[in-house]
Amino acid sequence: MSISGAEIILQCLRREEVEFVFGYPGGCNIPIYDALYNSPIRHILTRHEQGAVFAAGGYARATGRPGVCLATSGPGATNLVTGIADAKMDGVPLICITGQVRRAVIGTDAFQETDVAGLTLPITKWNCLVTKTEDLPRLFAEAFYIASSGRPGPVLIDIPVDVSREKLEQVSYPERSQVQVAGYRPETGASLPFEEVASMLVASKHPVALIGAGAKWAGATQSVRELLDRLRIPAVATVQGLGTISEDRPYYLGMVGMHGSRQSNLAVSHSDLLLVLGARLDDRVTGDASRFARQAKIIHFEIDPAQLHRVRTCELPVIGDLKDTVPALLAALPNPLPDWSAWVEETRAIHNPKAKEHVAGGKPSPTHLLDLLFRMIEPDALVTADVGQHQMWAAQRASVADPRQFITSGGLGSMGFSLPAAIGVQLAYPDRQVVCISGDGGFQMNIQELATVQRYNLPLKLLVIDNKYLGMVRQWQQLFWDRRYSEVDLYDNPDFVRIGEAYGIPGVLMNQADDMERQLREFLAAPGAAQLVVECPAETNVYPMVPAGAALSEMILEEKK
Amino acid sequence: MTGLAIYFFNIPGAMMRVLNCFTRRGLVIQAVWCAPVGERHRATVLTEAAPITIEQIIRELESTVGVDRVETLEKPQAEQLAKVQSSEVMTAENGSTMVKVSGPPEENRFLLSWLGSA
Ligand SMILES: Cc1ncc(C[n+]2csc(CCOP(=O)(O)OP(=O)(O)O)c2C)c(N)n1
Ligand SMILES: [Mg+2]
Repeated sequence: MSISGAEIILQCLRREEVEFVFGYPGGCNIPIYDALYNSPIRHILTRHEQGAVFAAGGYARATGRPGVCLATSGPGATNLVTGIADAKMDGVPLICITGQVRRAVIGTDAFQETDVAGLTLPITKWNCLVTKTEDLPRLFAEAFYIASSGRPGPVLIDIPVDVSREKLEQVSYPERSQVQVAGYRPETGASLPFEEVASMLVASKHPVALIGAGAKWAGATQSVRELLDRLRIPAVATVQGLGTISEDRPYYLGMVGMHGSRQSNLAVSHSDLLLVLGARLDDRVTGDASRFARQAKIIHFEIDPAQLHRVRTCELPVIGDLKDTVPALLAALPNPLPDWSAWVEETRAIHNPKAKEHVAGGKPSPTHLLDLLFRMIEPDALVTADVGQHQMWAAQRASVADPRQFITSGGLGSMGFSLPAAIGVQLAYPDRQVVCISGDGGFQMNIQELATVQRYNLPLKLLVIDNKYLGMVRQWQQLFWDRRYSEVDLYDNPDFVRIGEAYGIPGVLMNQADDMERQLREFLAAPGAAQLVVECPAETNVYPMVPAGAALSEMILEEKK
Repeated sequence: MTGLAIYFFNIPGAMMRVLNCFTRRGLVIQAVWCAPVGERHRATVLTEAAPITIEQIIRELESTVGVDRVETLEKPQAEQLAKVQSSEVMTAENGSTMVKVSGPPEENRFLLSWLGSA
């Protein structure tokens, strides 16, 4: 019996245990849609390809498994670009499938032809244009292997429509264990300097652990917790590492970086040894790299060599999967270890100031609201945050039990992320509470996905922090551009409650602080999807803030009078 | 001038990914030679960049899917290679390609061996 290219594609997805494909149809992927017509794989129709790729990203971030999205050629494929770049930055496994024009017309600027492999080359970990139908099984096996091994990342397979239509008589699928890609060795078997790491640690007076996303992607959250419970040294987390260390640990100081806590940023700045566990040390974390943790030696646990030595070259790299390297370090630690409790006390004694907010007219304070939210959500709730002030306020308060519970576009910082990502998260975990936090700006970047929420009856809780501004840009303009508010005013926002209602999602407006707790409780308790639009004061800022180019210790803590 | 010899498997996109590690940083690729060497390909790339950038590029190349190994050429080697640009290329009477390089053979040893004529 013959089998079409499209059927082979779906067979490949089934072999990889794919549950969902997020996508949007068009001329060049019709054969794949035809095969989906009676396939057990569930297709989720979003209302824009960017919605599909972010939903796949949300699914992957919540589950740790590759998210799959599907788009047609040309405009369908170009609409995926932002979500692919997002996944590349944050190391999220994605399988992007695009339709392409038929092989005979590739290169003729045919209708809806775009060089998608060329376009996405620098933002994918690997990609290819399929030229032979019989290559599909191998290429898909390689795609899944590359996306989910090493530092995970997005891959893209561009499939000409005649490849999807072509019928083959015989197909063989490679076994997962047989998959090899020439020139790709995600597991480095080098002998690692654990004894050296242990002796550097023991010699250190002021060590600090800096925890990134690596632990959750490596499935090493438990080992990292065990390590920190042994070491009991001050620990800080990047946005993507939040939730790795529980807030109840006395040595945990909170988020580090541009909007990190004062305790975290000063502890890192004054450390003599930084134990970096799966973090890239990008500029939002380090501030001015030349003045980052100046007195500190850096021991960098990292899976991808390309992420090393951003700050300085004398670091000690420990290349490998945290799942292997952290237990190896634990085994190499001497007993007893130095007592660093006085240093922990010293860092904890640093004052974390509470920024004063101007909450005129009894309007709800966004920070107070988010404080309450994180106290009121269910212990296993998943929260997505968009990009801007509300994101940083949320990250500062994201006291979640597991690092997969707080999901946001970190490296790319892409507005429009939170709603479609939450869709992917809710589909992955239909029985868990999922809260989507958006700003009034970012919400409108993928607002069409409310239709997807409604179509699939997703009980998402949509929290819109409406300050009628592109708040984060306004904050920069206020602080560094002399209050010249250029094109950041969203005074004429639509009525979000009515928009939600038009999509069948009931909503409530909160414009006074009096009833905040009750309104939040009712919102979270709603049986289906619900929207809470919070009209916040317009000019509230996120503090602390390390201005771009400043050292991590040079935080602005509050407004100038 | 820095020269890097990048050994990679010619899987889809690998050659472009190699070059992209340079071009994404706005660097000018002065010259690139690329051809199969055994079962792999070798791209020899000449560029002018700060040492720290070159180190970053090397690490990025090493973690690029398809790339097997990266070698940094000694400075004199890179400089010799750079001369290929200015050397005269012509067809000899017997039909073979002749490359005229300036300077004594010992200064051009690397270039000659690289061209397979030493
Ligand atoms: C796609 C995209 N375009 C532009 C930006 C630049 N940007 C960063 S934050 C921000 C403001 C976001 O406004 P809003 O969604 O209302 O959130 P707020 O900061 O007010 O909480 C902008 C425009 C971005 N991050 N992403
Ligand atoms: Mg806003």
